[in-house]
Amino acid sequence: MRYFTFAVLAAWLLFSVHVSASDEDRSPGTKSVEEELLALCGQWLDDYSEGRVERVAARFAPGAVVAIDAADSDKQRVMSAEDFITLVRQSLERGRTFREWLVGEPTVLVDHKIATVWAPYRVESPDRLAGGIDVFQFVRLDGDWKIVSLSYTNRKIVAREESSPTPSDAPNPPELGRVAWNRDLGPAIEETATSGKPTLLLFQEVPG
Amino acid sequence: MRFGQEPLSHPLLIDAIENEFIPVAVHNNREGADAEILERFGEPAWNNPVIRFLDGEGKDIVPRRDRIWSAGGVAARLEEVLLASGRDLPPYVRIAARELSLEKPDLATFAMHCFWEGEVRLGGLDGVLNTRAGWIDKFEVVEVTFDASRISYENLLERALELGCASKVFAHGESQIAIARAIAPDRVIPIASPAANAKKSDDKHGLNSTWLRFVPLTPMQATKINAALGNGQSPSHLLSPRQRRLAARIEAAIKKDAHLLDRFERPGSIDDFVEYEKKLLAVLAAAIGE
Repeated sequence: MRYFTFAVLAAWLLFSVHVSASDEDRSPGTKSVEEELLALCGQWLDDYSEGRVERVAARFAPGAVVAIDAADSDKQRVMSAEDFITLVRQSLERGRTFREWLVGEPTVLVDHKIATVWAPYRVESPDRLAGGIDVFQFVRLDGDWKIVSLSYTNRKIVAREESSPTPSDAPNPPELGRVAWNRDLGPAIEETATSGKPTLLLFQEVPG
Repeated sequence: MRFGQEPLSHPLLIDAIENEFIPVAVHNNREGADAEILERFGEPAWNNPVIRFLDGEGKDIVPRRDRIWSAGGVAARLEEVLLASGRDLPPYVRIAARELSLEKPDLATFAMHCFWEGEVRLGGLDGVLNTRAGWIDKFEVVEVTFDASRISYENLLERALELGCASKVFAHGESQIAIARAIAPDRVIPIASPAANAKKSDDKHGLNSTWLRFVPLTPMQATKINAALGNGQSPSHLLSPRQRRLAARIEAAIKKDAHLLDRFERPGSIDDFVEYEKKLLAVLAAAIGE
């Protein structure tokens, strides 16, 4: 049973480390660079979502840039990190609330003191669920990882796909179960054409 | 109503529909956009539920089929459509299709020196749907629920012998007795009653030694994850995207407070998943935020 327990723990460690880093040299309990970078991205998005602007700004390296690809309107924009922070402040002053988080399987590449994190994300505001890819370029300056550039795509997500860790709690009539349904076929077909995910079209009698 | 309560409320099918498809509901017998879609697809206004699957041009990916109302039928259809459209078939969708496909799967019981290992080795076999650790007399046994269309009793018994998981073969019914006597005559014990339960901590021991035990799992998911852990494999691919996010939140909370979820126990029935997850998420939110 001891060997068996060891095998379970080994597999468990495998599951716990989401990145494909080579971590043979790591002492148990210490984070790999890849894990450290992912945690840093997660913390940065938490700060961003919570409006902790000073912490968001402090993570940028001097001269950092932000590039935005608004995929739905096919508009691209590049700005300095300072201008990006100004936009964030203005957005917060207007009372805008949102939450952004990483989803899926991020890719982390590291060579010495430069690194790239390629991470699918979702951003949810009261009126919109969107997402895309966040690409963080990092450099390690004075022992601290700083963002040299942040590039991201942004597009509206039609389905509630990967929206939150909570179980679907859509206020559905009982005939529709607990699935978060769309009601508009046109955008769904467009999303299918873009993502390749089939549209599942349910015809159901719903009283009332 | 039953269609809404069963396939459309099954946790893995909800995750499959929301994550692998773009779900759209058309309310039959309603004016406006609903009526236009009904007309476009030639669907009657008064009808039992029908699901169609469309490609990016709005055309059927597989021919329309009526009268698919069971959870197993819907699960099989989701699998069929993903394969037909060249999409990946995520393991959690395959698990849902397998475990919902049989109303009454077969049962086999084997004794071995350690039921922890028995559950791992037998649980990892293709065609095995569920395992349960138990006792018969002084023997540690594993009860195996299996899909005989994917693995026959004869094959299952041979694999169990190869894996060192059949020191005794507790055979159910005449057919199993005959097969077992032909393959392992000195080990067969006919049996009519189920094994006594092992302690909860002994059932799915590998899984229950990790914080994944707090994630609501279907029986087959629990079996396969337990087997993956015991075989030194990462089990994350066996979770749905929502379960993976929940697991990540549980991990973060447990790292802050190892005893935070001590009073939680994964529900045995999927009917209890919603209430359990609500309580679990409330505790997680208080511990690590939304």
